[in-house]
Amino acid sequence: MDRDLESYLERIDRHLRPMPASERVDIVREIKSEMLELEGQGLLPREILERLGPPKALAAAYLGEIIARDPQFSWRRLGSVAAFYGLAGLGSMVVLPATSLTAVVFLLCGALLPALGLLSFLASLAGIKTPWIMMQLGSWTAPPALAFPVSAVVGLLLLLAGRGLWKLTVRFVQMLGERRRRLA
Amino acid sequence: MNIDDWRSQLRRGTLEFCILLMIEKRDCYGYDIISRLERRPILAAKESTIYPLLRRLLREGLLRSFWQESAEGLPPRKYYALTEEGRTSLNAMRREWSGLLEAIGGIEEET
Repeated sequence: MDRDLESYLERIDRHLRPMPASERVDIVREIKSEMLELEGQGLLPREILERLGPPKALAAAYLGEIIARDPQFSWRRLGSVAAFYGLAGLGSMVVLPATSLTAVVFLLCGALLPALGLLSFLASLAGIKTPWIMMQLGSWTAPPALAFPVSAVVGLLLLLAGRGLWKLTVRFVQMLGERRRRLA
Repeated sequence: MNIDDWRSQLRRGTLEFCILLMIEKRDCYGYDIISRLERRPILAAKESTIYPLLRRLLREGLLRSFWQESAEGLPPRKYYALTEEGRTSLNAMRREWSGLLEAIGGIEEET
């Protein structure tokens, strides 16, 4: 097979890294099958590449599809979002990193905060001092007894905010996908 | 009114239906579908539209796929076939489609 065609397939494979290996192999194999089909019809490698379009755009089409298929959060999906935003270009440089990263940070903090609050509360019951856990809102410091309820409420708010931002991220990706389809 | 926009909306809305109709007649491979759509400019769609769409239909269980060796000198191809669920959905789409055509016809004939 022609070198340029091989390297096109390699680039597709690289851009699809957030996907499971088995799916990736299958996708690359299917594109390769079409390349051979076109070669058999007498198309030149240059013409085949022209027809398939930039590898980034083709890979982004697949990635957009897996992000849109399931709005749940997972690390794999975060990887897909990151890769997709890398491919989708400048327009999404600001929105996607901001929403997807803050979503992750909010979700993590939302889970961590009540856990720490609970720890501080239990420690105070047992009479152990935990100076490394401080619940501070402005100038007000929560006493250990209040630490858990306060942190639970704030944690819940953070989780809700994180979920909202994550949904926003997914919506944005879907919108990009939609726009790309209109261009197709 | 931009007629190109409208046409691309129509195509987007009906592409799944067209692909399922093609696969119902006989099992198809990706390039087969793309090149047959290409012959009808109103339906022509690129690889970056069709392949991800086929994957979605697979995931939704409307299609199944299998790799098959071709004749000498041709590459192995990934074929798509309708599942029972796909057949059911296709029939439902068919009903909706003729319902839509009838409704439009009805409006046109209204006085």
